[in-house]
Amino acid sequence: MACTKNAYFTGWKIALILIKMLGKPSHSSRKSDHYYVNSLLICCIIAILVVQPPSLVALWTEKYDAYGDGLAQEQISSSLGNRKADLLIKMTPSVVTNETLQKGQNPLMEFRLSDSNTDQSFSHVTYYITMEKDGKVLLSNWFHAHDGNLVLKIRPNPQNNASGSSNSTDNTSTKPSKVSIKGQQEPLIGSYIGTVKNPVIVIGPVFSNSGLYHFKVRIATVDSDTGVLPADQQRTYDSWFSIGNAIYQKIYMDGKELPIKLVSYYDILMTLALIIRI
Amino acid sequence: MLNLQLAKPKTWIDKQNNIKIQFASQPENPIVDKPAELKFSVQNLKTGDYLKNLLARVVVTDGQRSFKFTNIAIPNGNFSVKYLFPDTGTYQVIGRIDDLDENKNYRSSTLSSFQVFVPLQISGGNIHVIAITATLIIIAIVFVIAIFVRRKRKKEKEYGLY
Repeated sequence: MACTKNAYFTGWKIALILIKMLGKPSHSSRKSDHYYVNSLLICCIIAILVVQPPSLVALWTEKYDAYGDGLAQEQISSSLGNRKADLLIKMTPSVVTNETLQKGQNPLMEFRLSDSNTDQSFSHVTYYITMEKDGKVLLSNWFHAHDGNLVLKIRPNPQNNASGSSNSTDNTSTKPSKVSIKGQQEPLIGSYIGTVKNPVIVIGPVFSNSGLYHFKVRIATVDSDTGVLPADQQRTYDSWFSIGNAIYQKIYMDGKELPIKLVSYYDILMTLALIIRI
Repeated sequence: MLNLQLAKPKTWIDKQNNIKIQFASQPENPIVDKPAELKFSVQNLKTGDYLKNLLARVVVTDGQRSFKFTNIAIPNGNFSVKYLFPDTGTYQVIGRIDDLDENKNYRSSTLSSFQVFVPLQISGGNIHVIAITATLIIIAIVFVIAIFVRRKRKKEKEYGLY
C-alpha cells in the first residue's frame, strides 16, 4: 500500500514538473492558451502512465467476485452434434418469493429446446434435470417432451417455506424431505412427460427456501424417443434461478409509522436497519 | 463376472458421469428366435473399478417393436439380460444406468445406446454359408450350360452345318 502511495506522489510530482516546463503561459494569443491546455493534459496522462503501471495493471487484472443469475428466464446456446440448439428455461410467474409461495403459488418451470437457426422446437427431447441449492441436490430425474416443450409445476412443501422473519437462518437447516414426482411416464426410458396442459408435478422441498437454485439440464434424446445422442453430444446446460426473500418491517419517522417491504433475489435477508442522516 | 473380452464389447464413455459402459451380445450376431445374452459392464472411467449397487433399465427396439427390462439390480457392475430377437435386422439396445443413494435419490444416471445386428438365416444356417452355397450352385449351372453349348456346336461342326 505504501508503495502505491509513493508511486502516486512521484507521478503527480513529475506531472507538475512537466506542466511547469512545457506549459509556460505565453503572452496573449489563444493559440498559446490552447497549446498550454493540451500540454497540461498530455503531461498528466504520460506521467500517470509512466509511473502508475503496477496499479493500473492491478486495476485491470484484479478479480472481484460478482454474482449474477438468470432471474426468471434464460436462453442458453450450445451445439448438438452438427446442429445448434438453444435451451430456454423460464419460470412463470417471473417473480416468485417466499411470500408468494406462502400464498399458495405453484410456479411453472418451462424447458424448451429449439434449433438456433429455425427456432423450431426439437421433438422427442429427453431431459435429465438436476436442481441444486447450496450444493445439495433437490431434484434429479429424467423428463421427456414429445414436442420439445417440457413443463414442470413446482409445489413446494409449505412447512419448509421461509418465514420471512429475521430468524431465517433456519431456512437452510431444515432437513429436506424427499421430492415426489407425479406425471405420466414415457414407457421406454421411464422419463416423466410434462406438457403445457399436463405439466409434471414436483412436490417437495423445491423452492421451499429463498435463494439461488442451480439447474443442470442434460439433453439425452432428440428427434425420436429412442434417438439417444452419442455421449459426447449429450450437452449439459447450466442455469440459475432465484426465489426472492421478502421481509416486512415498520419504521417510525416524525412520529409516523411507515411500512417497508424489502425483497432480496439472491440471499436470505437477516435484519433491516435504518440509518437516517441529516 | 461376465467375460466381455470374448465377445468384442462396444464401449460407451460418459465423461460427465465418469462412467464407462461396455456392451456385448452373446452370440455376437444373435440368431432369430434363439436366446441371446446382452451383457453390460459398468466401470469407473478413471479408476476402472466396477461400480456397485446400481439400477438398470434395458430397452431393445427395432424401431417398431420394443421390449424393456426394468429394475435390474447391479450389485457388482456387471449384469446381463436374455432376449429372443424375433426377426432379422438392426436392433437398438438402450441402457439406462442409475446410481441411487440410500434414499433412492439420483446421484447420476446415464443413457447409453448400442446396436445389435441379427443376420438373415434360413433353417438355422448362416447367411454367409447360404450365399456361398448359392454362388456355387450358380457357377455349376453356368458350367453345365457352357459344356452343353460347346458339345452342341461341336456336333454341328461335325455335320458340316458351318
